[in-house]
Amino acid sequence: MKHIVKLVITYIFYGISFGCTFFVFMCLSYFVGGGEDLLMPIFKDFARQSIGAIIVGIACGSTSIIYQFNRPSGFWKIIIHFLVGMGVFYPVGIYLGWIPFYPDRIPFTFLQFLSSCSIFMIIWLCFYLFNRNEAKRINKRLRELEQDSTKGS
Amino acid sequence: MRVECRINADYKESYAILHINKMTETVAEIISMLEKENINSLTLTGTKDKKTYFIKPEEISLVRTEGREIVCYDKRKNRYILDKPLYELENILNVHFVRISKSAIVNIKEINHVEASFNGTMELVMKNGVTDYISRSFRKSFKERLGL
Repeated sequence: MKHIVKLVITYIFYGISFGCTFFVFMCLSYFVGGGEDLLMPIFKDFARQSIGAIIVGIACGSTSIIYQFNRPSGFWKIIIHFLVGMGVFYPVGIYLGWIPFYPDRIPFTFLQFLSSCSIFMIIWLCFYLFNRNEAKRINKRLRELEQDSTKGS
Repeated sequence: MRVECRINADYKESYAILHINKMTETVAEIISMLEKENINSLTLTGTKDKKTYFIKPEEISLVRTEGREIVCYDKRKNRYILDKPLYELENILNVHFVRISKSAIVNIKEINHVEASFNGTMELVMKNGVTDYISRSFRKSFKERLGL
């Protein structure tokens, strides 16, 4: 139980740091793309914007805690992570004006939803590629250790 | 560190005295290895099909919790039920074993490979085909044990 509580707290902070980092990079890209004028609306509404980033960070980052448990299966873990992440990101993004929303323009809204999904997929792909690279390093080291023990025996 | 070793057949029991000015992680690891020196010859008992078997630690590939049972798989993928808790086994098993999650310990020498799984974790495949996951919280210590 103590281990679970510690894990949950760690993942909440992990989510918060993920959300804040994403927020900073988003502001930076706004600044590079459009200068201070584009950043002004965010700064005027800084408290709500930063809290929104933290909430999205927790929904997208902290929910990856699900991968630490044996159940449900891998496929359902991805689905749950995706639904919770998108289920929070999309409404918060619309509410805070990160995503322009026009309910009367259905194709545009649909494309927008797809682009939001692709952001999620890109972040997920980055983590996968990082893990794959890490796995390659570990496998290389395992082969080295095996060769060492073969020479030693 | 200067190391002095005295080998004498008259010694009834092997023992080591370390003269150190402070305890470091390396020294703690060496102490742990030396303490387990005699344990390496230890044999565990496990049950399979209502029969009790003696299992040498070097024959063990993986030990993990499955439901309420602590089980171990040997090199030939035979599954035995053990009567010791996982934390106790972690202390008993020799230096070639490493914890990969809250519920599993593996023999490093018996790992075939690891692969990044699509759900964001890292899957570990043993030489006998048994698979398990390296939990994110144990990944760092696992890599350290491999010298990465």
